[in-house]
Amino acid sequence: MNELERRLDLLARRGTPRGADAVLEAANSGSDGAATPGEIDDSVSDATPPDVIPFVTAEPARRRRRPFGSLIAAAGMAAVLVVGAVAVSGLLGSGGGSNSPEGAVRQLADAVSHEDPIAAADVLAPSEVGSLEATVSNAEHRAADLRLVDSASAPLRGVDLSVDGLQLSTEPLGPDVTKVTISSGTMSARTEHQLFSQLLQRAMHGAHDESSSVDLAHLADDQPTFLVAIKQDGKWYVSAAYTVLEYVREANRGPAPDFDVPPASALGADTPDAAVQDALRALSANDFNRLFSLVAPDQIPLYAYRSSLAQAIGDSRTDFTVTQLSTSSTTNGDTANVVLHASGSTSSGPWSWDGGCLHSRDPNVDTNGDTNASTSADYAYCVSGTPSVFGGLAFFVLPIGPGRGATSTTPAPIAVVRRDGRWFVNPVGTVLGLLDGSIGKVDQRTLYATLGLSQDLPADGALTLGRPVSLAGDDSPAPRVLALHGHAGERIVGAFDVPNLASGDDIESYDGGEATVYDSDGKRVSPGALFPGQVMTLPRDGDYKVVVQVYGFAPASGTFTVWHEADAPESALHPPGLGDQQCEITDDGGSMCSSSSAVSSPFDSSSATTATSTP
Amino acid sequence: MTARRGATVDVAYFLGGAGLLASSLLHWVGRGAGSALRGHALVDAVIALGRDVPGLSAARLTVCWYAVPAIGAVSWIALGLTGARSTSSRIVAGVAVVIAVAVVAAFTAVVGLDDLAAGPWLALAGALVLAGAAFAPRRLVADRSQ
Repeated sequence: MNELERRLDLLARRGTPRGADAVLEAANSGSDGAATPGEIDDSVSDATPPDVIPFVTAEPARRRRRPFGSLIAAAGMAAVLVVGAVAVSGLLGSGGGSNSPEGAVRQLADAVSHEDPIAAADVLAPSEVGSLEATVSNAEHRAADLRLVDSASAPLRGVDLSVDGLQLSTEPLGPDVTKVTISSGTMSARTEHQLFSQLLQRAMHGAHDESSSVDLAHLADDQPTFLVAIKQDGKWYVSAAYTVLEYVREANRGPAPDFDVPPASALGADTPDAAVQDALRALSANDFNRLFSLVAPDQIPLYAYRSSLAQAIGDSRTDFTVTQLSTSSTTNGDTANVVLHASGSTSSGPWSWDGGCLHSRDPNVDTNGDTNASTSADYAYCVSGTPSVFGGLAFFVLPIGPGRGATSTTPAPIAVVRRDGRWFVNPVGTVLGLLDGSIGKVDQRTLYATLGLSQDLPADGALTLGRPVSLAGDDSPAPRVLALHGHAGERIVGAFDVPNLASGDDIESYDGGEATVYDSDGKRVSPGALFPGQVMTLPRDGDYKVVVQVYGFAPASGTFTVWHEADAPESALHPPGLGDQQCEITDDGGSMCSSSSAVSSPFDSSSATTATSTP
Repeated sequence: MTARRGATVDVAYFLGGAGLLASSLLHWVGRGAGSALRGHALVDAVIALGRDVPGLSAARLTVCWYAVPAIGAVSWIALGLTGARSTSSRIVAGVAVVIAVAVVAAFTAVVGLDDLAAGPWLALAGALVLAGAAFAPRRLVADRSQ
């Protein structure tokens, strides 16, 4: 029994039981002669309770010390500030660019190696790329919608680019403008077809993966490869405009650019309409200095390069006058769109611009190579119309042949921008605006035609032998797909029937277009096309598709007809120019003609027939 | 033993926050658009271009993305002041997991799972380590000597 227990036992057994009041009274009366704390008198243990009861107190709880706690908290606060600063600068700043001209070029090379359009746009001059990114985004989305690519965010999947061994040297051209020359380096490209979209794989049927490389230092034979970097807002960017103009200067050995350009407030025009009108008048008058001064200097530095551009233009002159000119504009802040209507004359005849189509008279060239005024015809070239399948530059300029009466249904506005209170023509914005319009109009028919896959489209109608198919009202450049049910050994011939473009001209029958025949497996029946005078033999019973491509300059009216050889008219079997020859399409796409006539056949068997699919 | 286990939890919590911070310095896209830029440079470029990343507006992407390193930094503050297993630290850890999952899901929707680079995975791992340290069962860290 320990000490504590012993004392408690003594307390419990002392005295006689008594009430609480008696206990308290005794305690109060005993307080005068209180014993010294700590002393214990065992002899009076029954009457005197111990005064000191030992307490066992617990030790105060101690918090576990975290070493470096304050340091970690401070580091966290610093990190929060850094993240916040970076976030704010990213949200408010222009972002991108590099700290040096070389760095900008290397960043661009890195973006190419990663097939990364975002990184590329990040290092291109903001003043040039500003409107480009919208167009690129539109194109990527449209490509994904049409399944040309599997994902809009990876438009270059299947193409692996790589830039290696880049060595650069720099040469200042002026304040904040530096030429970066590529001393050495290679760019390699490799395609992996299985990563292309299904549509592209079908269009490339049978093509193998390819790889190639090019020496970046010597892309041109006569001069080294370079890029021009410019400094904007403290960062260096690669400038496409400066690079192109510098190449023009180098190619023509022109004088150094004059970067001492007057401020924008001293150039340009007073209003958006005046900018466009002045530009057209300057172009007509061959006043190129005035013309260059109407282009925003921060977008394309034409004014700085005016001397070398004038040297490149040399004695070339425009050949048109302006007799009528009117514009209408819509302004939105510092940008505006101007629709132009104008007319005048050229040495060939009158011209007019109705806001979207250029109408002019183009003289035909007869078979002797002479211009024959009596055969001239009016043509129209329309922009922002239905996209053409005839190549990149014609993507948004559609040649419309005579008789179509083409007028612009959608005006093609000219983009204008304001700088320092003055208005300037924005050629990049204008072109990109037209491109945006064309991209939006690309449909499945046009895309399939461009890829040569028109035969995969559903048929637009049925083709009955001997019954003409009207081409009227079809201003779309995409081919028509007609379904034909044929039989093995059936011999057919086809022909366009269009109004004569030139009386007596023996080639107009072929100028209507071309028709190619595909079997039910999507394969061409023969490399050749259905031209008048060329008989095609169908290999088997079954359904076929005839893809009829009308040339852009063919009139809207006219027909296309396919006959059984036995029922074909003479003009289809023996068209003008073939004399009494009759030709047959051979397996290699050529044609074999047999005749004793001295007239040379346009389908001489020694030369292969142009068996082009849809371009 | 108790001190050592407690220190282990703190270290794990610290490393989780470090992972969230470090993810901002890595590539987030492995191939195609955005693959040449690291972390915030990619987001800054997207902002500067004013471009809509397919399926996700630039604004939403920026708010989500900057929250990843931000929550990593906040986790360090919570760790230093209150410890890994405090209520504050657990709240921060929970928020970090939500943010990391949301951002990784957003990038997956944009570029696809196959084209994700190391950045989103490190962010996700950091958030999970953070949560693991904050919510570790008591029996793993309790003092058994009493």
